[in-house]
This record gives sequence, structure tokens and C-alpha cells, in this order.
Amino acid sequence: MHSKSSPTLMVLAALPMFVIVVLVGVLISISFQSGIIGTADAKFTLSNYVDLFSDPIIEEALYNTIIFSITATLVSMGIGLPIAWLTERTTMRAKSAVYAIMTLGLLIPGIYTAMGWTFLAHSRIGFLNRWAVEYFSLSEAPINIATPIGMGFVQGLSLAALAFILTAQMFRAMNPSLEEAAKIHGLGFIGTMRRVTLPLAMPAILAAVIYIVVIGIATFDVPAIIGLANRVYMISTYVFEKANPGDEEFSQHGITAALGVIMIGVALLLTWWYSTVLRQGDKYQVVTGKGYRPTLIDIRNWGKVAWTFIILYIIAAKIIPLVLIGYAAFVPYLAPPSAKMFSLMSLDGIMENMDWDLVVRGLKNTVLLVLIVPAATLILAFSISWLIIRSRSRARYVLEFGAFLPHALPEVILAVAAILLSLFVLKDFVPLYGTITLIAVVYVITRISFATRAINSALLQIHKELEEAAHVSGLSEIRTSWRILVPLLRPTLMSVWIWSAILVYRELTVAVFLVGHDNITLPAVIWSYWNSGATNLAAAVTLIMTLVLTPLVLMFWWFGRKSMMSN
Amino acid sequence: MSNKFTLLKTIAVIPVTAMLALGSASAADAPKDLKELIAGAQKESTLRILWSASSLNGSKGAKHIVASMNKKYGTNIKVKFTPGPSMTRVIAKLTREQKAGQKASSDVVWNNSGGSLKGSKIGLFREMNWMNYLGRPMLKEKGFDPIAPNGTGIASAGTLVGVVYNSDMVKGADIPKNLADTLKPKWKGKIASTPYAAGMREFAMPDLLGTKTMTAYTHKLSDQIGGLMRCGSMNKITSGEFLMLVLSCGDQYVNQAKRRGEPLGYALMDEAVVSHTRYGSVPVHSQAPNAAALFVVWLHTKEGQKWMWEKVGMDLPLYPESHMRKKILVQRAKGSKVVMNSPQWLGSQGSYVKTRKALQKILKKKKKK
Repeated sequence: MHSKSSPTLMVLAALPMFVIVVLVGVLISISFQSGIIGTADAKFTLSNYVDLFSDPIIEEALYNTIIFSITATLVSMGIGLPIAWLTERTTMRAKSAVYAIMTLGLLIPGIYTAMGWTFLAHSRIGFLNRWAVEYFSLSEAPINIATPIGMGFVQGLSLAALAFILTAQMFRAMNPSLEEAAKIHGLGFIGTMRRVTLPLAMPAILAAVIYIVVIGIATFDVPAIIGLANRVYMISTYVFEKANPGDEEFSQHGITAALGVIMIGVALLLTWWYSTVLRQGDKYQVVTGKGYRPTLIDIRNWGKVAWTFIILYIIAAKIIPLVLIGYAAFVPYLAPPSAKMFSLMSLDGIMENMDWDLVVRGLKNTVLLVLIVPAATLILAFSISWLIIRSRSRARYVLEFGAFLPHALPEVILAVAAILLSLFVLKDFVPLYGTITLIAVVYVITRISFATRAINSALLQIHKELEEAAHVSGLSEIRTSWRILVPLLRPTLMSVWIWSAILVYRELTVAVFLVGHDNITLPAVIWSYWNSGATNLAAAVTLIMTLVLTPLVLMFWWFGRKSMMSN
Repeated sequence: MSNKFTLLKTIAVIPVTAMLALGSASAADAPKDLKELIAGAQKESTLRILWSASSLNGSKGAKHIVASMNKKYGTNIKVKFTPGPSMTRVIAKLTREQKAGQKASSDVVWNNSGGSLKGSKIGLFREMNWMNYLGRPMLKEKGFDPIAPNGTGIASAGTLVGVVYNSDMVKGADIPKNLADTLKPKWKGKIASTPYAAGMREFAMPDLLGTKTMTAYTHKLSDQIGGLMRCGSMNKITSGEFLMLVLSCGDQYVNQAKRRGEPLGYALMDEAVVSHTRYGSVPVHSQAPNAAALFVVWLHTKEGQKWMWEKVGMDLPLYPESHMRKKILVQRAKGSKVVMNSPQWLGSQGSYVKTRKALQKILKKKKKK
């Protein structure tokens, strides 16, 4: 009905698009250059593409990445989706605790999830393997996490919380009248789930699947910790190695850019697929202005089974890494837990070797990013989502693609583009290299996809008739958004804010490439310590990081749930 | 506020960039002696250091060295240390920054012979009159020049290439004595190597075992190892994830770790002994070149060498009191061939870069089962 678009929203939506276009432009340009990029030594060539396809490791890296991503997606959706459904659509008890646990778990950096699982399931030092070999007299360890499937499993545990949050809002907003109608027509629980609930949830599930598949392609920490040491290469670690050669060679940015250009092609395909789902959006508008009243499914004694499932997940994905962090922080060197190691535990190593100036520097920068990036992401993503879902402008297809693009591009590639842009293009105009601003810009761009996916799903489920009523009453586009959409979207916006904040708080992939003296973040401090063998210091900083944010997150959720309930 | 700051930085950076582009870094322009160097350092305020937290005792080491240097030379330098990647990755970063006309992320560089060779070739490091800054003479070592080509760095420490092992899990006759011992079937899948072919690239030089022998060995080792690790990641050995590191960049990590009671041991190989030399250098785009050079010079004092041995586990085998020198002399007495690695030596071997790349490629590729 209202095909016109607010100029303010258009400008806000165009801003990140401009940055994305520039970054992609830099990427394409670099992909056709060899020599030292940005200097007179650089030459235009196709050799990067030739080198990329003739590199024997790239084929293996692509294959591993596909297996890893599929496994991570299956595991995370297999855990996150049922927990989201249980939390939002059933009478299961202590739901706030589930939200708090899922959120807090995300504070644990992937480094430690990987490390925790190394101690649990490594073929030589893993408890499970040692126990199985001893008790079943096996000749070799039955589990090996140093495989794409093993790493995908570990990554999936880490991403289950994300799958939960991406799908929980959809279940919360789902109109139960269709399920009730199915029940009246004699469909049982399974039939209703198969023929009503899951089809209704499909856009949000697809969005989550696409999102997690692409995270699997881009993720760095688990492949770096478990994979690199075992010569199992993924796209992200391949890019890292090319951008940061571990010998006296120059960075091979041309090859990473060529890979990035190919990833743009993948993004194009995924966006096309996702947009075909969005075009059928009207089918999925499950919240309307008429008598929206979600009712809950009574699961009675199955609640205990549900909580057992959640607790097992919490132990595997959160408790084990957290306990390991505590252990690693206080032992003088890393060795499997034993009576001897427990007797050596003390604060001495931390107090003697920790650089507190560095920790404070990292904390300040991280807090600054946590304050700025989620707010900026939210405003920009709302503008984009509104234009994609509500406007009739052809520009929405461009916006849809543009908003999805950063997610389909491995973050390491965007980071490389940002470094080169700041070093060689912007250097004389805007000195961004080594600043916190550069990191903030890249973080906002990389979070835009997550935020727009979540807001898109929520917007899809709010019928246009509410806004149309506001328009008839004479409200402008901006005031309609503020008075109608923002209150209805508040749970989603709040989730996006807190999840963006948490993801920024623990973000490592981009940070590894962009940090320097003045813009180092806490996760980068952890990575630096970890990478140079100071595991106790890395663990201690992780502990500090988790302890600082835990009360804040708990408070946020407490107020947030209260506010949602009062709505 | 932030915009103003960005604008001010823009205004400040343009002339600095222009100065860097025009500035010369030849030895003739460098301070002629220690007095001039100190005078130059007194005009500088902050030394920014970026390297691995395991290099030179990380942040604690950087603070100690700068504090000792201030005390000894009457300077007032502050240090800003940020833990960073490995030394070769720092060189890649510095090169990128130099080409872009940016200031260096690290005012001083701690690198190995390969990095020193590369840096001197591409004009990354300042040419300095290093010998004029030292307060004491070095012992002569045949075929070894402590100064990197054109004065682009100075040898400041040495460490011996060998095998690191977990001393709780590898004991007695299992401790490897030569390269063949590391290929025993019992170690299959349980040991690691480095992605940069540390040690092997030097052993493969014509003066030592030669490319053919080491290529064959590396192929066998690549099938033997369970994975790759950085030299400084001793947690992978103490945890038992890997039982050995074949070959390591040097014994300094083990020398340090043993004092802390960590279960680590070190074995030199019968075939040859390479003393891996560490160089101190100053990038041409350093913001505090005099303080950076003074930082390196302090490491050459008796106090500096003693501190390095105690806290870092290595010192320079060209000083009479050197512990590493004693180790080298023991190996020579045993009849081992000992080479002190240097950029000049690597450059004279002809095939260093090509061989290194080939060996790295072999190690990175996992054999399909």
C-alpha cells in the first residue's frame, strides 16, 4: 500500500551499504593484483585466481569447511531449536533461567570451548578416550575431535545458543489459533508440529540455518585451536595463513581477496534462495492486530525430560569449558588435571606475569565497542529491514543482498579488506588504521546481517494492517515505526541489542586482524596470550571477562523479561 | 570529541608520513656512538613494542629492559607493550605498514636470521653503527659476523636447535639422539613439528645435511607427526597433546620452563647443532629509533645478558660468560658440527628460501589415509 519510503530510513540504510560496496570494491580490486598491494610494486593480474585453484590445500579446506559447517548447523539447530520451542511454546518451568544460561554461555570464548573439548575428547589426552581405551581394552581412541565433524560438533555446541535466540522470537510471536484449529480437526502433536508449527516457523528456521551455515564457513577460533594444530584446514584458517604467513614472506592478500570474490558468488546464491522464502512472506504473518494471544502447550511431566536435555547441553557446552578456564588460570603450566596439578594451583603465576595495563587497555576498548556497535547496528538494521519487508521499492532487493553479503563473506576477508582500505586508500584522508573506529565500522558491518535477519523475521510476522491503521490516523513513517513497530518489536530489538553486545564483547576473528597498540580488545589479549603459550594468563583474562559481564547480563535479562511481561 | 580527535590525528599523520617517506635510514645518518644515541633517545618519549608474549619475557621483560635502560643511560622512556604474533608475522605487518607510509607497530624488532636476511634485503631496517654503541668487545667466532648486512641489526642472543619433549612421557632410551629416532613407529601421530620448518630449513643447507637428505627426512616426518605447533606453545607439550616438538626454534623455552618445574626436556641431535641467532633491529619507520637501539644495546651489557639468561633462557655465545657458549663448546668437544646461524650464512647457502618453502609445503600437507 505505502510504497513511498522515508528519506531518513533510506539514508540510514544506504550508509552501511556504501561501506559494504567500498569494502567489496577493494576486495575485487585486490583480487586482480599481485606484488605488494597499494604500492607501485603491485601489478594487475589473474594469477591470484590461478594460484588459488591450483593450491592443493584449498580443495581440502573447502571440503572440510562444508563438512564442518553442516555438522555445526545440525548440532546447533538440533539443540537450539527444541530449547527455543520448549521455552516459548510450552509450560516448561524456569524459562528465564534458560535465557540467562544461553546468554551467559556465549561469553565463553570459542578458544576455551575448543580447549575444554580437547581435554575431553582428544585422541591422546581426552578423558573420554582414556577411559574408553582403559575400560574397553581398545587399541586406539574411539573419538577424534580433530576432524571436520569433531570440530563441527564443538562449534555446534557453541552456536546452539545462537540458534536458540534466532528462533525463540519466532516461537514467541507465533499465533496459536492455527495450531488449535489443527487440534480441533484431529491432528495429534506430531501432525500439528509437521503440518502447522514447522511450516509456520520455516522462514525463521531457514534464516537461522543460513546464518549458522555461513558462520561455520567464516568461524576462526575452533578451526584455529583444534584444526591448525592437526593440519585440518578450513577457509578461515587458510585465509589467516595467507594473510599472516608464518615465515618471512609477504601477506598474500591477492589470494584471500580472490577467495572473497568467490564467496560473494556464494552470498548471491544464498541471498537468492532466502529472498524466495521472503517473497512468500505473507503466508508467514502469524501475528496480527486481532486478538494476538499466545497460549502454551502443557508438557506436564515431560518438563523434567526437557530440563535434563538442557542441563546436559549446559554441562557439555558451558560447564566443562568454564571449569577448564578456572583450572587453566591457576595452574603454573597446562597439563591434564591430576592430584599433583591441583596441589600446584595458586594465584602466583597470574599476579607475577599479568600485564594489568594491557588488560585495562583491552577492557576500555571492548566496553567502548560494546556501547557503540550494538546501538549503531540496531538503528541501521531496522532501517534496512523496514525497507526490505515493507517498501515496494526495487532497491529492497539490493538492500537484501547488501545486508546479507557481509555474513556470507568470511569475517577474516572483510577484515583484510578493511586493513588494506585504511592502509592504502584512506590513509591520507581518514587515518583509521590502528584505531577503534576501524574495528567499530567492521563490527557494525559484520553484525548487520544478524540484526536484519532477526528484525526481518519479526517484521514479517507483524501484519501491515497495524501500520496501515496508523497511516490512516495521520502518522508519518518515522512516527509509525516509533509508536507501532518499535513497541511490537521490542523483544526482538532487545535480543538483537544484547546479542550484538555479547558477540562484540567476545569477538575475535576480526580483532585478530585489526588490533594494534591503541585498539586492542580483551578477546585479542586472550588470543595473544593463548597463541604465545601463556595459557594461564589467557584463562585468567577470560575469567575476568566473564565475571565482569555476568552480573550485567543477569540484570539485563531480569529487567528485560519484566518489561516483556508487562507488555 | 571523537571527530575532533580524528581530525587532529589526520593533520598530525600527514607530515609524519611525508617525513617517513623522505627520511633516510643509512648508517651515515645514524648516531655515531653511544653518547649520540643516548642524546637522541633522551628526546624520545615512548617505545612501542609488538611481539609475542613469549619473546623476551613479553610485557614484563619489555618493562624491565626499559626501566633498566632508563636507569643506566639516564633516559626517560615509557614502554607500551602489546602481545602480538610470531616474529616473522610481525615482520610481514611492519613491511605492509612501511609500504603504506604508516608508522611502525613496533619501534624495535626481535627477529631471527631469516627475518634479518629478508629485512635487510627489502630495506625494512635502519642501518646503525651498532659496534660503536657497545661498551665491551665480543669474542670472535670464525665465519660469524654479529652485525646483520649493512648494519641492519645486531646478534643479541643464541639458542640451540633440537627436540623438545615431555619429560614425564618420554624417558630414558626413548629420548631421541638423532633425527632417525624421531621416526620410530611408536611416535607416529604423537609428535609435532612447526609450520615454518624450524631447524629443518637450516639442517637442509649444503654446509650441514643438505637439501636431499632433509627433504627425504621431512617427507617421513610429515607422515609421522600428528600436527603442527608454534615453538612457544609449550602447553601443547606439557599437556601431552604432543609428546615432542621436532625440531624446535631453540632451547630457550625449555631452559625457562625447567626452572618453573614444567615437565619438559630438550635433546640436541647428533647430526649437527645449529645456534639460532636472535637479532635486534630498528624498523626504518620506527617512531623512537634511538630508544629502540638503546633497548637492544642494553641487552648486550653484562646485566642484560645475565637477565636474558635467567628470564628468557638464552644469551649471546659471543661473550665469555655466556651459558650458551658453554653448551656449544661441549658439543664441539663431542665432535658435533656446530653452525652459528646468521643472515650472511643463510644468504651464502644459495637455496635457503626455496628449500624453506618446499619443506614447509611438505609439513603442511597431511598424507591422506
